[in-house]
Amino acid sequence: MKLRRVTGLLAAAGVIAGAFFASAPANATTNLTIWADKGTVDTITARVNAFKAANPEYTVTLVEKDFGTVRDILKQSVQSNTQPDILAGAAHDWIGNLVKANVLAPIDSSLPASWKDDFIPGALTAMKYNGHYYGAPGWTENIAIIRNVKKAPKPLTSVNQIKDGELELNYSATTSDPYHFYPFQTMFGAPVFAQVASGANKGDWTDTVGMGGKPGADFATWLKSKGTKFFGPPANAKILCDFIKGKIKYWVTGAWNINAIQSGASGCTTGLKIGTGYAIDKFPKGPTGITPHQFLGIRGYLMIAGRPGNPTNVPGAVEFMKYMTSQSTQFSLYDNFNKTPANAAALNQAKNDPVIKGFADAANTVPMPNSPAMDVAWTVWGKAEARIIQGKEAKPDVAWAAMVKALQTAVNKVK
Amino acid sequence: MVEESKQKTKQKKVRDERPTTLAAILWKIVLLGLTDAVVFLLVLVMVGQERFTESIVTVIVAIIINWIYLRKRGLPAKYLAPGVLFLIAFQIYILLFSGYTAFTNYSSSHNGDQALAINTIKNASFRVIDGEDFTVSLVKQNSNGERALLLTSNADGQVYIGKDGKEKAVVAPGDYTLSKDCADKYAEDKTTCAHAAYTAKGFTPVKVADLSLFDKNKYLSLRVVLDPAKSNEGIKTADFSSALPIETTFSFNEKTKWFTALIADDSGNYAAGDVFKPGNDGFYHLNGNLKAYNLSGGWRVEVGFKNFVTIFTDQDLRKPLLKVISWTFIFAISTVLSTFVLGMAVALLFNHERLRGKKLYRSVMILPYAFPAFLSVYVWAGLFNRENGFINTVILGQTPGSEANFPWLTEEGPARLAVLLVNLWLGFPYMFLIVTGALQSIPAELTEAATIDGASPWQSFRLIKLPLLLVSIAPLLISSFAFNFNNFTIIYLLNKGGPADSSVVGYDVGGTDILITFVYKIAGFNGGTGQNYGLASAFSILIFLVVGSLSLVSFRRTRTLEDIN
Repeated sequence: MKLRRVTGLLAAAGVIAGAFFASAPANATTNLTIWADKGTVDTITARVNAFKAANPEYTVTLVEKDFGTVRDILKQSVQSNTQPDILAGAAHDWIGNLVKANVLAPIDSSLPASWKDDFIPGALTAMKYNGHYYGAPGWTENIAIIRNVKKAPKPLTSVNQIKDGELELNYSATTSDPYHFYPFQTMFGAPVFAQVASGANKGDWTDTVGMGGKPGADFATWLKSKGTKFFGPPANAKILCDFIKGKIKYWVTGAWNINAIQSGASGCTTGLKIGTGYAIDKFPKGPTGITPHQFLGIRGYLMIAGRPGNPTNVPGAVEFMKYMTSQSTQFSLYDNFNKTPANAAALNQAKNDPVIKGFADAANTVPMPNSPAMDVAWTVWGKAEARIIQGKEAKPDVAWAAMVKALQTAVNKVK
Repeated sequence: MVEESKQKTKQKKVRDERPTTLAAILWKIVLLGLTDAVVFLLVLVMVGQERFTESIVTVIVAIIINWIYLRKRGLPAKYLAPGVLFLIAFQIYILLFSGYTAFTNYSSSHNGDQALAINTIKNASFRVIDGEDFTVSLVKQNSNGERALLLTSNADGQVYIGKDGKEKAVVAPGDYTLSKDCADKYAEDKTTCAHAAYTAKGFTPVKVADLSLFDKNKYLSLRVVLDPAKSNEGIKTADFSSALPIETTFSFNEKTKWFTALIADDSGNYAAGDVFKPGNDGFYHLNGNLKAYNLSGGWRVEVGFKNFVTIFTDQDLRKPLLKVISWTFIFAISTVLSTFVLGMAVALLFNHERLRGKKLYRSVMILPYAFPAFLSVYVWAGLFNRENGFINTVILGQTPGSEANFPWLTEEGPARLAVLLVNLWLGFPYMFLIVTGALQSIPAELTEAATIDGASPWQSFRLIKLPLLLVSIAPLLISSFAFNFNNFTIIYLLNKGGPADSSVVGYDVGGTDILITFVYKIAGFNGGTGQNYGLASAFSILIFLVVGSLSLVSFRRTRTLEDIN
C-alpha cells in the first residue's frame, strides 16, 4: 500500500518534471538568444533592450562570447542543442565556413523586396553564400586614401601621380597585408577570386583564383618596381606621426585610425582636423586607367540553425533583424558608437559626419569573399606579396604565378 | 592448515558484520539519497532532451553505486568506486573519445551527424523566384477552422486570401480591414506608410504569440499555389510577417535518405531529376559517386586510417611537420640539459658547508618556480618586445620604438633562443630543488674518502657525485623531458608558436611551434577556421606513442644506472 503510494507520487513527480523539461524546446518559439562579442554587446545592448520593450512576446537574452573562439563554441553548441538563435556582430567572411559546418540557416524566404532595397549595394550581397542569404547587415568597414590636405591639396586621379616616399601603409614583413594592398592589385584588374559572370548569382565570388594571368603578372612586376621605397618599410610604427607631420602625403587605412589622426600621438601631439588637415579620398585609377576597388567588410546578424528536433526561432530572429537593420536603429548605432550604417537611409542621415561620408563615398559594392577559401588565401597570398615588395624575388611574375597555382591547390583541398 | 583458513574466514566475517553506528547509517542515507536525487534530475533532463543512451548509462551507473554502498561486503569497492568513476569519466572516456576521433573526419565541414547535415540541406532547398511579395496576417476561417494566410501585395496593396494547396483568391475592398499599424513596423514615417490587411470577412485573425508550436508549423508549411502545373512552387511565409514566391529545389526521401534535384543548378553542376546519395566520406554526392559534385553540408563519418595516411604522405604537411618534430626534440632535450646543468651548478654552490644564509638563498632560487608560469611568461613576452622591450632598450641599449631593434620574437632563430632562455628561467629551480635533495642523500664519507685518495674536486664530482645523483634523478629527467615535449604553456603564451612560417602552404605553423601547439592549431582552437579535429586527434595519438615509448625505454635504461649502487 505504502509502496504503491510512493511509486504513484514518484510517477506523478516524474510526469510533471518531464513535462517541464520536455516543454523546453517548445519555448524555442518565444525565446530569442543572441550571442555577441564584447564590442558588439556594448554597441547593441541599448537597442536590444528597446526591442525587448517593443516585443514583450519574446524572451530576449544577450550573451557575451569571445570574438576569437565564438565560431568554435557555436559549432559545438549546435550539436548539443545549446545554440543561440542569432550571432550578432559576426564578420561576414565567417559565413562560408559556418554554412559548411551546418550552423547557419538561410533567411531569404523572409526577405521581401522592400527589405532588400533598404541596404547600400553590396551590404546584403556580403551575407550571401551558395545563392542564399544567411543574415542581415549591421555596419560596414572599408579602407580609403587619407590625404594630408596641406601637403597635397588635390585628390589623386591616377596612381602614377604618387611619388616614392609620399605614401605609406602598414604591412607585415612575412605575411604582407593583402587587404591593404588589394586596391593596388585591382588597379591591374586582378581580383582575388573569379566572380560569377551571369545568371541569378551574377557577381558572387567563386572558388577559382582570379588573380593569375597577365593582370596578376603585371601587378607583381609593378609591385616589385615600386617596393619599399613607394610603400614604406614593413611593420612601420611611425606612419601616424609621419602623416600628421606631413612627411608623407597619403596613408592607406580605415576609420579605425581616424581618432588617432584627430587627437595626435606621442611625438606628434597636435592632430589634424578633417577638411583643413586631412581628407578621405577614393582610390585613384591604375596606371592603365582601371578603376580599382577595395574590400567592403560587413559586421552583421547571422541566423543560426538548430538540430531537427530543436529548431531556432526563425520568425523571432527575423523580427529582431528587421529591428536592428531599421533606419532608426542603424542611425542610433552610428550616433552612439560611430558604426557606419549598412541601411541606406540611415547612412544618408549619418553622412552629415564628414568622416562617415568620406569612407562611404570612397567605398564600393564589392564585399570581401565569404567562402572558406578566403581563409586559406590570406596567408598564401600575403607571403608571396611580402617577398615581392621587399625585393626578395628576382622574377616577381613567376613567383606570383607559382603562388596562384599553390593557392588553387590549397583552395581545392578545403571541402 | 584447513583449520587456520576457516578461522580466517570467520574473522573476516566478524569484521564485515561488525555493527555500524547510527551516524554512519544516517550519512549513508543522506549521501546516497542526494546522489540518487541528482541522478533522478539528470535522467529527467536527459529524457526531456531525448538523450536516451546517456540516461540509460546514468541509471546503470547509479544502480552500481547504490549496490556498492548498500551491501555489507566488498569494503575495497567502497573506497575505490569514486576514484574509478572519475578516472573513467575524465581520463579513460577522453582517451577513448580522442582515439575514436582520430579515425573519423570530424572537422569544420564534417560537424555533427547525418541528421544535422540533412537538416542543413533541407533548410537551403528552396529558391526565391521572381514575383509579387506580400505582407502576411495569419487568419482562420470561421466556418471550418481552416488556417489561411491573408496576403497584402507590397506592390499594389491588393488583398488576397491564400489557402494551402489552392491559388490565392482576391478579397474585395469592402471585405477586409486594414491594420492600424504600418505594414513595415519600423517605417520612419508613420503617416505615409503602407497598411496591410489585418482580417477579412468570414475569417478570424490569429495572434502569432498565441500559437502552439504545432500551429506554427502548420502555418509555416502552408503553400499557396502559384501555377497549378508546378507542385514545387508556391507562396510561403517563413516569419509570419512576409510571404514570398518560392520554389523547392530538392526533394528528400525519408526512407532512402536520398535527395532529388527538382531544378537544374545555375552553374551546371547537376540537372533536374539528378539523385544525390550519401557517400562514405560524409557528403551527399551526385549518384553517390565520390568523385562527383557534392552538396554543401557534411557529417562526421569513420574514415579508417585516412588521417594517419595524411600525416605520413601529405606533401604540404611533410616539410612543416619534420621541422616541428625536430624542433620539439631540440626544445625538450636542450631544456632538460640546460635546466639540469644550471640547477645542479646552483645546488652544488649552495650546498657548500661553510656558506652562510643557505636557507635564504635557496628560498630565493625557488621563486621563479613558485611564481605561476603563465604570469612570468607574459612578463617575459613584454621584456622581449622588439620596439620597447626592456631587453632591447635597456640591456642592449637600442633606440626605444625603433623597428631596427633586435627581432627577439619576430624571427625564427632569436624566437627559439628566447623560448629556451625563458624555459631555463622557469625550469632550473625545479632541478635545483631535486638536486639539492639528492645531494643530501650522498654520504659525506664518500667525497671525503675521495679527497683523501687525492681526487681533485672535479674528479670527485664527476666520478662520485654525478653518477650517484643520476641514479635518483634520471627518472625525473625523463619525466622532465616528457613534460617539456608537451610544454604547451611556454610556447603558446610566449609567442603563440610564432613567428609564422612564410614558406608553408595550407597549414598554420610558426618557428617555435612544438608538436602539441601545432596540433592545437590544426584543431583550430587558436581561433582559426580550418578545424580538423580528426587529424589533430591522430596527431595526439602519435605524440602519446612517442612520449610513451621514450619514457618506457628510458625507464628500462635507468635500471642499468641503479647497478652502480
